[in-house]
Amino acid sequence: MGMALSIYQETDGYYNPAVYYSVQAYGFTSGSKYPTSASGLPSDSDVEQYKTLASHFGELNLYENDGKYYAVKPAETVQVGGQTLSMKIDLGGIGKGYAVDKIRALYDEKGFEYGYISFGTSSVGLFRHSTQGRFTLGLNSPRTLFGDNYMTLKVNDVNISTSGDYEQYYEIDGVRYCHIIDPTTGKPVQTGIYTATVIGGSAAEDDAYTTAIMTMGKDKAIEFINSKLTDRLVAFTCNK
Amino acid sequence: VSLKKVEQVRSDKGFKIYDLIIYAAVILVIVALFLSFVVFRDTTKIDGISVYLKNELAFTYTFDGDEYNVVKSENIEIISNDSTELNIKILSDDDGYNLLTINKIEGWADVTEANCSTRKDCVYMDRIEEKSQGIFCTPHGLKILPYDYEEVDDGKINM
Repeated sequence: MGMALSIYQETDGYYNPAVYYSVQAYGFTSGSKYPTSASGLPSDSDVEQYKTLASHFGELNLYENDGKYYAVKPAETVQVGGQTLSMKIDLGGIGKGYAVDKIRALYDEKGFEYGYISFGTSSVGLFRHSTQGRFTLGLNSPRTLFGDNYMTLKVNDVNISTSGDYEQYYEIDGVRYCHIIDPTTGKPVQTGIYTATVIGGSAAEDDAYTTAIMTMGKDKAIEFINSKLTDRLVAFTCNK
Repeated sequence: VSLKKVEQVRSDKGFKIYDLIIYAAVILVIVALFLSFVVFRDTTKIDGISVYLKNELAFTYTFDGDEYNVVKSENIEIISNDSTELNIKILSDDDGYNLLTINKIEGWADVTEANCSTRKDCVYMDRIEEKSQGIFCTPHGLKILPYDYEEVDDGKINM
């Protein structure tokens, strides 16, 4: 949670895990179903309320007391459909990377040198390949057939995190709705960035950075990458 | 064409040494492909099948004991199951589907219908009976392989 708060601040709020209600309203929480028509989408006024709630994530109070860790939500509440809602957090944008980091630490402790840790296509921790040394990493093309790569590279002993709008999504009236929420709109990202990959840092941090890059849009993303991610390899694809 | 050129063509050999090398290489490739795909292929009957969606295991079936395992319940729908056939619907992203029939008596599996593309290669691919066979549907990221098939780890990771 501390790392999430830190990256929220570092990315000027473009990574924001407090968008849970938007994720839920657009049908991307477990047990939810994707809407099949525009009438199943949340109303603009509801989304505006969710966005307002999420914008207070920076006020989250984290502290430790007597060996226990606490997170106190901001007092801000909103009214949606006659219900009072307080902040809810979705750590899906950082959780898999965090798990890779933790498992990697255990592997390092035991002295494993070969293989890889994979949490789907979101975060992967590579060691070395048992016979070839380096792995051939293929970054999936977001708008072509499964298996096509827009970039391949040889890597070992690094973490890789990727976010994209091409695996969890649906389309209604020609508009694509994916699981990554833009905190500036409260809606699924429409920034023109289809997928982003960050290589070389902590998997948790890079997981969150890829989400932030998706929500920034091309120009802001390039500015952010050039100023904050100079020690990493970053790739993204966009529509212009 | 000048007479000089005609004379030059007449005096040339039918085959030059480099031509023969190329022909020999082509023949060798054809023979190698024939040996690997026809003569030396694994013709052992399959024990069952494994269904992968985007490289993740979604479903398995083994003929011994007539057992199936739905690993990804959101992607697998059992259509019918009796003593002779198991029919499942494999659901992929964007309302994609493939219908898979497993014949328990004859020991094969086959994709019988899909909405992947107009060509529907997966429907027309041979059914899986032997351990050297597989059915692939690229638009849906679907692989159907023999149950105990072991892919060679070539060090390639997609994400």
